[in-house]
Amino acid sequence: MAGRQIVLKNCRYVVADAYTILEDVDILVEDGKIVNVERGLGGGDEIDCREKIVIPGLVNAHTHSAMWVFRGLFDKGELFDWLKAVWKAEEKLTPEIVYWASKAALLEMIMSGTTVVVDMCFYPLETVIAAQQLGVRIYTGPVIAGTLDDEERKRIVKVVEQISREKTNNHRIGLVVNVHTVYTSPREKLEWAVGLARKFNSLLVTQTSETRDEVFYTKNKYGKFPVEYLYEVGFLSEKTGLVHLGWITSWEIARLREMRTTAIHCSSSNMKLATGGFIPLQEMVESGINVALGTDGAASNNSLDMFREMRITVLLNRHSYWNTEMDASDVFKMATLNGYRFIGLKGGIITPGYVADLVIIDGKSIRLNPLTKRNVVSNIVYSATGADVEKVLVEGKLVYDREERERFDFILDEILEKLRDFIETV
Amino acid sequence: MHCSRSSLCLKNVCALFSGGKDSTYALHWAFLKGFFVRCLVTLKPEREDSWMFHFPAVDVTKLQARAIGLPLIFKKTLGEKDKELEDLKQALMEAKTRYGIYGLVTGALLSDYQRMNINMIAHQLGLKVFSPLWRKNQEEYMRSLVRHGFKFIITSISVYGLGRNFLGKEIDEQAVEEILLRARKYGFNPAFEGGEAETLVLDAPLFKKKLRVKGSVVELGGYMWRYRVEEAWLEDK
Repeated sequence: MAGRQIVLKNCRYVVADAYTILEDVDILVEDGKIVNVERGLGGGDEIDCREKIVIPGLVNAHTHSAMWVFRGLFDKGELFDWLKAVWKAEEKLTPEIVYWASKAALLEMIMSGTTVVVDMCFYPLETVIAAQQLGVRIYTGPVIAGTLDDEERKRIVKVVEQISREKTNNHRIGLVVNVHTVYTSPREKLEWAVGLARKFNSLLVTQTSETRDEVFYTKNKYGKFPVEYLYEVGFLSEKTGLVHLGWITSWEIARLREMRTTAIHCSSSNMKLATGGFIPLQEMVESGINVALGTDGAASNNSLDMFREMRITVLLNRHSYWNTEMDASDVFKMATLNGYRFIGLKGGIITPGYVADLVIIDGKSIRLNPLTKRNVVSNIVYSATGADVEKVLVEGKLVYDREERERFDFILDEILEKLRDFIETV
Repeated sequence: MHCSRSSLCLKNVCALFSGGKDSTYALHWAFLKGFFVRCLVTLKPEREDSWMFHFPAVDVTKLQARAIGLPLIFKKTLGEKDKELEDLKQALMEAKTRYGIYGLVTGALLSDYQRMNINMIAHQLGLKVFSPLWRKNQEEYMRSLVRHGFKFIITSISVYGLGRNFLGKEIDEQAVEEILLRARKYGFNPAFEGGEAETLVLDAPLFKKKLRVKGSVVELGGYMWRYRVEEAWLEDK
């Protein structure tokens, strides 16, 4: 017997994957999965998609949700000056603040078409609660940084166990063991994190090779560049995501390939923090490395809009390489299919058997026109913004509908009210 | 030099300059980007198998510096790995002290070994590094050199497939296409990133005078050839 069915009827264009555009088709969703994509489908609830573009959900593969509350706090300094300012502000974070700030960030991301958020922030359980309430997929876990004494290890394991339990009850939740950076994590800490991630079969994420300072600190201290060092301690695997990588060397790229590790690129944040370097995206893609995209936190981007991130990624790439080899479809794939590959979920393309994480875009938006089958991905990447998103489905459930904007405005009002005093103190 | 505005100070750079096509092109990029190139820094390796800097024809960089109209900090180095990095550090320190530079421009193409070593030294000295040719399409780069008016000759060949006929003659569009063809056929880097060949720039858009050289071809054995510069002088353009 068929479960709950939804049909997205008469979609003007369906971006089935980065390189395949279907025209005037229906999408049948059942029990959270896509079961058919063709004309003349019926049954269940219908969503009218005339004049709409349907794309797979976007994956924000690296962010710090709660940093939403620090947006615009410190826009001036390079990474280490910026970190000093942000760490100082972070000391004031409480679980309650993290909950409300994460909720705001997640809301903003859903409203701009993000269906999966891979997060790195303190008090991850609060973020999990907010994500559950909003219906977005959340992959998060404790952040290993600073001292790692017995007490801290116990605390971290406890958080991991709690998220692990939540995960068994709700498969929109995923576990991540986050290591802040290599330079804040001696070998013992990295090895412990690797063991923890293996034990709980979780993703393992760290931010690395972001700045020249960090690269040479690691080289001087451990005799190796960061990715070489991570390889040596057994950190790299297909469940590992390395974020930033603007200072990665060619021989380290080979290590990512060998270990099938995902590279997560945050172009806006890297440019804003003037980290220099040169992310070798074309070489990574050519060598078959899975590259996903992230916005980083709202304090260093400052947007959480994956449409903007796709655009800036392709622009930065073309500017850096002095060529136009990378195109809109390539970054679209990074923001969709590659993100789902990283979290190990069959999603990111619109075809039977894949999760029904779908974004419905207003095809009549001025930013998406003139609209043809030929330019639909180009218009999405180079011109659209998250404001063109009309509806978002996660696992076949409607989690955002622009027609119910008042409901979402109400949530935001409540968040702002709860955060008002904190924002004033920061 | 003292800057009244920090944004101006931030534009003071030196250029690591071997006299070959890559460092000369990077120098031009810096001018076009609005950097104030305060001086050239050249290290002359005394060992021919130096792993970082060009040996052949490097002496004529003094003439090239005059042609460009920039002061030159010229150091000899033994060409041994650690010592060479130390020599580079000394040269950059001198550039920083004398000219108040904030960064340096290099012609690094694809060697992370070269790029990261230069960055490590620069990092210790608090200097930014700009490598405009990094990871660019090297075939296109070779073509653009000629198209943009860079006149250069090959002074050293150390790779099978690039015959002695290329030595000492100016590389024009036809020669570039022939080099690219051979690079694909014999599997060497089309821009000689791995030291397959060394070049000497005789003229470029920002040269106020052009360099002239006379020399002869020397066979070092196998496919190794050198163009020994025997005379070099500047001429009005």
